[in-house]
Amino acid sequence: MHQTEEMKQLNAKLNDLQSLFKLGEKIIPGIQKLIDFMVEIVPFLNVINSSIEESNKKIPKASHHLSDVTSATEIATTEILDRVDEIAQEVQQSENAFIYFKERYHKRLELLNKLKPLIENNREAVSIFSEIEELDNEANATQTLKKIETSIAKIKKYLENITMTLQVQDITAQQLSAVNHLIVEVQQKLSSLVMDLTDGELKLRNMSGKTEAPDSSHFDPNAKYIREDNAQELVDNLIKSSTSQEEIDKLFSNNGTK
Amino acid sequence: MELKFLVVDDSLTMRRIVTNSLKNLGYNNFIEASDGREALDKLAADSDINFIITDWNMPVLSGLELVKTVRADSRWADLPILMVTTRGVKEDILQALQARVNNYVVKPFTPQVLNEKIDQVLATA
Repeated sequence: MHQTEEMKQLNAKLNDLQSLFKLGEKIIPGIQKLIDFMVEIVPFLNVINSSIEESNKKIPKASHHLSDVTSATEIATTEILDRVDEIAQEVQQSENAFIYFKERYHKRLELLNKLKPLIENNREAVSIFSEIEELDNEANATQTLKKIETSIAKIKKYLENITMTLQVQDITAQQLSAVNHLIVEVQQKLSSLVMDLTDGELKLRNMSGKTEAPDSSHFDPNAKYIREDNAQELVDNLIKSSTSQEEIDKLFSNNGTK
Repeated sequence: MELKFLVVDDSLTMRRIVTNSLKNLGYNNFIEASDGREALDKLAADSDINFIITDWNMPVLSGLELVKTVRADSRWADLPILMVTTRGVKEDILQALQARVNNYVVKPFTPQVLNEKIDQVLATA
């Protein structure tokens, strides 16, 4: 009786073992496939790694290029501003000379008008006087003076506009800094993805040529060159609506910041 | 009293543009700083400075931090400060006003706007 019971247990265990072998037979091909897959995927991962590493090495160069562009445009802008200053000085000298000439011209007219009644009885003097008046009329002196005055004012305005337009250099420099910041962030993310698979274990590979990201407080990522008054109007309206510090604080808290 | 401006901007271009504009408006007395820290040093060294025109985004010490530091110092608590910046959204303007800038100009600006704001600051200072 006791032996029969033991045989039953042995039989059950053999059945379990048989089931296990059957399961093993089913699983082993799967495991084999997984191993084959790993054998195939590791070189592929290495290729991806190399590709990321390669791209990553190019990022500092791209970042430096952007910084170089900013430096170059700043130098060029400074040179333009130097030339604008030189032209402005020349224009100023011309304007001073013009003002001097205009004053003298009007003084001359005044003197001629005083002279006219004094020479009425001298036929030769009257004839010369008429010639002088005719010369002035031909030259259309008053209108010419007005034209020169208008031209000088226009040149000064154009120079002012050129100077103001050069603010675009600062704005694009900030935009480039923002792009640079993003590039360096991408580089850092890519660096963290690159793994060393050669020793059969995953570990971060040391990346060379990492770039320092420009601090985001150094630039305005939303800087844009738009010559419209909306932004300034918003400022003016906010200042108008908040004449006291208390009102500013109230606006500030209503706005949900801090 | 003659005005002596301290023009603070990390962009050489902008410093040139602001100082050129000041010259065209008849203000010829100014010094420059390229960040907030340098501005504080120059302010401490030169008691004749009586007007600050500052950018916001700068390395080392930002324009906003400069304003807060200046306002926290009893020597400069009432010193006129005009902020000239690309930051034109409401939150930024309110932050600057709360830090007690006297006025605010959004880049790109025209000389007329700069002149108008300087006049407004002087009228209320």
